[in-house]
Order: sequence, then structure tokens, then C-alpha cells
Amino acid sequence: MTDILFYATLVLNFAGFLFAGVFLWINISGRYTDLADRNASTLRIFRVSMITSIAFAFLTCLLTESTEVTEAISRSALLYSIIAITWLAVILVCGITMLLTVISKKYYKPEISRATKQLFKIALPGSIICLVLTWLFS
Amino acid sequence: MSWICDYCSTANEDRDTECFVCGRERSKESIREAKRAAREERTKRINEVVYKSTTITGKVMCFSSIVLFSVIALIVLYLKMQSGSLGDLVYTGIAIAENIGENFKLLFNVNVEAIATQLLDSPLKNIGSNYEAIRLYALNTIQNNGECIITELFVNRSVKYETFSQKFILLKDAIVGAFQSWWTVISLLVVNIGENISSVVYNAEEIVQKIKEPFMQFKE
Repeated sequence: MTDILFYATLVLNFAGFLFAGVFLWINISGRYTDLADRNASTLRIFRVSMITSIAFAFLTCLLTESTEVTEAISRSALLYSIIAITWLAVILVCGITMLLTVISKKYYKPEISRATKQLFKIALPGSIICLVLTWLFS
Repeated sequence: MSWICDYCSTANEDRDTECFVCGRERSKESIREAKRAAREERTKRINEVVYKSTTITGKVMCFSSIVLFSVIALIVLYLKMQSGSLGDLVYTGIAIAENIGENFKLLFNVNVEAIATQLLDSPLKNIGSNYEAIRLYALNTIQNNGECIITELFVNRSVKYETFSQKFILLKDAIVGAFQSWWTVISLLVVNIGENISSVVYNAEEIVQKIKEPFMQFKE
């Protein structure tokens, strides 16, 4: 049962990562008339996925058998480290995108700058929280 | 889609290669513009398909994992209630809190202290013991020179100095001797400070090396 919970949390985390990629991509291609609506809905799902994956990682530990608490705590630490690495990867991609748009002024668009900042503002605290939780659960 | 004739401004169908009113051929700019518009339209369609498929996949993944998790969590809670072991949740929570507490204790009692000791202990101890040695040396030197002056000027009254210049030479030698001692003290202190700075730098390099070691293993 706890294995299913573990993998469900991983899938949720990956879905959030996918939405981060979609968010960045729609702002880079920028060919949509309803870009603001799409941005808002994508960001909302991204935030929900992040918060629920952090909560689920904790619940995975809490719902375990009383005889397997130590393994459950280690598994939660592993989950938090995977979530933290995912959000750090998002931050890295944001940084590379900003760098490329700054270096090559041909590709610069204000929407890209705004999108990377929005993503960064959500991913950074999330990754810090997950890193701290990884340490606390290790 | 249509194109406008450059000569008679008639709107023609996109598939027409010449104007149906004046018979002039379609201009190259117009053809290029039409191709560019078609390409943009195609890209927009592809982007839309990719966006929709990715967001649907993502939403399905989110929704299914949340639903699956909630169902499994409810089943687990129900089974615990049936077997009367709902209190296990509290014990698990306490075990988690204890684990967190242990990590905090480890950080502040052991790790921080170890880092502080590694960084500051040796250089400070050296400064402390070296300072003591230098201070004693300085005191001894001053004391010895002072004793000489006092002995020569005031204790050995049996030895009479005939002229002022003899007394002056004696004082001059005592002052020069004291100055030399102080100079030795200052240069020793300067050397000691330099040694301690290099010791701190060496310790910092060692710590950086220790942090790098686990990552070097992954690289291999």
C-alpha cells in the first residue's frame, strides 16, 4: 500500500514539473491571444501539484505500519529529496532561459522574463522547504 | 484566404495564380506573404495540439494520483479503524517528531561545534600560547634590563661614576637594549599572526576538500 502512495506522490510531482515546462513553453512561443488565462490556469495547477506532493510525502510516512516507521521516514526523506531536485531543475531551466534571452536580444520578450520570474518565485521557496524537510526526515 | 491584386486591387482566391479581372500574375511578395501566413497558421495549430495534449496528460496525472492517493489513504485509515490501531498514527507522529528533534540536536550540539572547533580552535590556541610566551619574554627582558639599570645606578653605590657621560652611556645602553627587546617582541608577534592566518586558510581548504569528497565519488 505504501509503495502505491510513494509512486502516486512521484507521479504528482512529475505532473507539476510537466506543467512548469508547459508554462515556460507557452510564454516562449507566445502565439496565444488568451495567454494570461492559460498562464493563470497552468500556474494554479503547478502550485497545487507542488503543495499536494509535499503533503502526500508526509502522509506516506504517517500512514505506514507502526513496525516500519524508520523505513517510512527514510522513504519520505527520499521523496522530499526527489521533489527538491525537481524544483531545483525548474529553477535551473528558468535561469538558463533568462540567460539565453539576455545574451541573444533577438529572442528577448517581456513575457518570457515575467514567466521565468513567476516560476522562480514559486519554485525557490518550494525547493528550500523540501531541502529542509529532507534534512529533518533523514 | 485571398490575395489583393497590386494593379486593380481586386480580391482573388488564394488558389488563383492570376487576377480574374485584369489577368496580371500574382506578385512574388504576395506569394511569399501567403506562404509565411500558412506557415504561422500551421505552427499555431501544432502548438495548440501540443499544449492541449500536454495539459490534458498533466491534468490526468494530477487528478489520478490525487484520487488514487486519497482512496488508498482512506482504505488504510478504514483498516486501522477496524483493527483498532488508529492510535498508531499518533505513535508514528511522535516517532517523526523525535527524528526531527534528533536532527536538530545533531546540528547544534555536534556539527556546529565541530565546524567552529575546526575553524577557530587551533589558531586561537596558538595565538593564546604564543602570546603568553611572548609576554613572558618581554617581561623578562624588561625586568632584566630594568634590574641592570637599577643595580648600576642605585645599588652599586660603591662604584662611583666620575663623570655624567659614564652614567649617560650606561642609560643609553639600557634604552637601546630595551628597544631591541621590544623590536624582537613586535616581529615575533607579526610572524605569529601570519602563521595563524595561513593556518586558518589551511583549515578552510581542508573543510572544502571534505565537502567535495562525496561528490567526487559520484563523479567516478
